[in-house]
Amino acid sequence: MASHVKPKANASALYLYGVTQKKVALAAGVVGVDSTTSIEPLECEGLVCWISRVDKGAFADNLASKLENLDWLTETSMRHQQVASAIAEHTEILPARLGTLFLSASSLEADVRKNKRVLEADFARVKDSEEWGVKVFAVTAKPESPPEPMKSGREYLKAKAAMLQRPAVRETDSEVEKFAKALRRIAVRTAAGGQISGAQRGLKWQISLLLKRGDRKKLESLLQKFSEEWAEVRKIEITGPWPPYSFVTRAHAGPRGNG
Amino acid sequence: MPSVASKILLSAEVARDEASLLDIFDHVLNKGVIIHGNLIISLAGVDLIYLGLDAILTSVETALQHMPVRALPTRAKQ
Repeated sequence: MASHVKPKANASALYLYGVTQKKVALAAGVVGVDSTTSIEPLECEGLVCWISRVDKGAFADNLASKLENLDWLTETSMRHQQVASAIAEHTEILPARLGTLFLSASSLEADVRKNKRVLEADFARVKDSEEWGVKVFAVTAKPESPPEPMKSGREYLKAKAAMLQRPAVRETDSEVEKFAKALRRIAVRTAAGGQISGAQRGLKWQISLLLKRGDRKKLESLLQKFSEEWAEVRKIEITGPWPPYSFVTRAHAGPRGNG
Repeated sequence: MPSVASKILLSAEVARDEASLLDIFDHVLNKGVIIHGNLIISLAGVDLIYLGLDAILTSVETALQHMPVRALPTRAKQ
């Protein structure tokens, strides 16, 4: 009774990782966010959309509740990033935000068609470049005497809350400003750092840089110079290279739904 | 799973295990191309599905502050 079998296409959605200008061969073993399906390059409007086919029930219909599950979110985020980085190794990618799903190749194509001009401008912006994250942390001196023992649970919670609180405005000093200026000089562009890692304890300042691949050495030498100068006062952390998440246009889809 | 961070060079003096995951969240949840908006799920007509993630950023952030370090991924170094 094959005619009664539901077509499989109805149960899947296309999960988008990013868009490139050309097709490249990915290393073996790179799989999609569901950890099983392979990554496919789909030609759309002269560009290449990198997708994997995911279960519609798990990834589309129940996305809202899945996102509340931190374990699921962690694994999905890591897999999403892994795919974007695997593609970025070979060519410029405009990485998609987590959870960008389409029900069909034609709807994906329609969306790319609509945003083609913006995408082309983004490709020109990120050409030969990669993203780096830079953070400056305060070095906290160890207290000379052990802290006073807490007298009550209330006191403990108050102290804990104070530790976790992030300052409303990041304090910067002239030294950090000097570092910031030097970074801006070598970068193609800069963007504000992220909201989530901004909660890290001791973080004084952060920025995302779009840097030409050939300028990586300049970044390294700046890092070395300031790390040495700041040894006892501040610490610098650099992550990258990232696909240029912070330097792509976040086109508004318009009020197509409400959430 | 294989470490996602294999391409992420962490040339840091600060060895913070949580750094790579926080940064991954920052990038994949908060940034990225194509669409930015609120919940867009349509069963007919417009068949793009996108869930705006802004609303959950705060809860993720709060959860991470209380998350044990052992739950975080191992970082590969270059």
